[in-house]
Amino acid sequence: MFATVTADLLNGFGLTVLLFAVTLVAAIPLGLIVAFCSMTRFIPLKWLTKVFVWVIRGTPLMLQIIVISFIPNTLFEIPNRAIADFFGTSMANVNFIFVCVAFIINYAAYFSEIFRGGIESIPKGQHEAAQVLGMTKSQTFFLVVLPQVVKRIIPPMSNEIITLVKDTSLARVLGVVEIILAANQAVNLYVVIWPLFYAGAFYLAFNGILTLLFSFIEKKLSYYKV
Amino acid sequence: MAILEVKGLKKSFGANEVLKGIDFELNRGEVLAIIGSSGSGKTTLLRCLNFLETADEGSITVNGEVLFDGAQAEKKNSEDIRKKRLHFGLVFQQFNLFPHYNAITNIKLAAELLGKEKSRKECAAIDAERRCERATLKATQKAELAALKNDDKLTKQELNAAKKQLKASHRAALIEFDDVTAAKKTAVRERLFGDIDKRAQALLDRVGLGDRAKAYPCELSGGQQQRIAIARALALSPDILCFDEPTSALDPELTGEVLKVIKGLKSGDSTMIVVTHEMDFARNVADKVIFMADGVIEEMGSPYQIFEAPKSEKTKAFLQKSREQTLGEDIA
Repeated sequence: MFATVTADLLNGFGLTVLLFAVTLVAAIPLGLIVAFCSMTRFIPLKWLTKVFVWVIRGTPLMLQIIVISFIPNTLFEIPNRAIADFFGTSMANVNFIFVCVAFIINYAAYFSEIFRGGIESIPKGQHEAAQVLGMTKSQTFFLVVLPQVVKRIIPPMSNEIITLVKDTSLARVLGVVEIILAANQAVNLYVVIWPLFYAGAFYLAFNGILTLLFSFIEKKLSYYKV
Repeated sequence: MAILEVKGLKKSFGANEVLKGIDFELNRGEVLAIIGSSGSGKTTLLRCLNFLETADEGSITVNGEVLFDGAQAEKKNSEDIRKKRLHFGLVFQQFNLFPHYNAITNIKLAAELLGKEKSRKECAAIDAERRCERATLKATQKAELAALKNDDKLTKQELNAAKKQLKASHRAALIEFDDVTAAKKTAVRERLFGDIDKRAQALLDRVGLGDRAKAYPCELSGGQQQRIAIARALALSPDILCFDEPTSALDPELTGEVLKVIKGLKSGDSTMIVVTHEMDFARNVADKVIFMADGVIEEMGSPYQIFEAPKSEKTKAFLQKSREQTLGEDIA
């Protein structure tokens, strides 16, 4: 029994990690773009972005996942089954993609606020010093501002990323068998409780590794003070 | 001829008119000290010269080139402004070193970037030129080959041998041609980058920090940071170097080392504008002193004229006040 449960949980954990990685890789650049939009001098775009961030941060991620899964059918009258058939894939995969989209949008909104805070916290004098030295705007951003922003946003980003690990459990609302749903199924099947604790151990281990990674990065960047 | 001419410079922030028409000239190698109480527009004047602010009216001319003319409502082209800025260097009150780069990288960063930009342009020009020549060369080679084929006197065997030989020599010629192109590009890079490190180190030596090349700003004292900032401004060899209260953010015991460095630059032929509250420094180092009050030049002249024989009542009052302050510090 232990071996089969372990195999089930590992399968679920695979999906958890995949969702985590996809979200991280896509939401960071998207978040940077959203951050720029919220700082632009073009007022309509700025306000549109602010409303977007307000809506995404102001509603539960679970609601967003469900809404996104209904969008193709309600707005475009394309049943989710048809999408699966069109791409020749299973409903589970389509649902997984919906979950990914919801996570990416949600986390991009959170990241964008962290990025904006980081970028705005860089003193004006740094921009001016770069300007006076004849640097272009992109050189100023990528060589002067961004490296300092990275150092400043590591603590809030590590918080958010650890939350992301745990948020992946929400994927079950579309029936994605991530690790907790897998554990839950095992609990129901074998009528024992320990698979839930077992699943918790996976989260603990994963977050432990992330914590070590972040403190390593922080140490790497401690060669200068801002 | 004056290296810098400023005429009728005006600048307002909203309803607040900070500069109300500034006129002055500066000759090459001269040091100009600008003194005056806080809020008199000294810093704004420097920022207008460095295009950190855009003046509303007036003109700025450097070496006969009009950099700014308020009468021409030209579009603010950032690329244009970037080039114009390079005539000026600016040392900030708060140093504004880049904290994530060490001393020598702070100094050479901008020079390297400008070098890269130039080398990219020059290499592209070389490529374009050589591409034409290469095409011509290839055409000649093709013609030679065609001429050989039309030669009836040769037997088939002789023709093949001759063809082979010709093709080999053509290939060698092309390789040699490409080598020359590459060598030309290397020469460009060597010219632009070859001495950047040496020059940065020389600047560090000049500000007396030759042994701190690898130190990060957070490991240096305020005075040392400001000296690095001076070296950084010098790295682009600007026509005019501006200092915005370079010692105001420093502890009193650290101002001396910075002032000494600035004084040392005077022996070169750097043209400098120094906004300062250090009256002794202005008196001893400057060739020309401007006293600003309420956005206008209240009085301008040699240090002797300003400090020993001021004509304006405002100047007299300001100098009296600053003397009392120094006296107070001495007693304390």
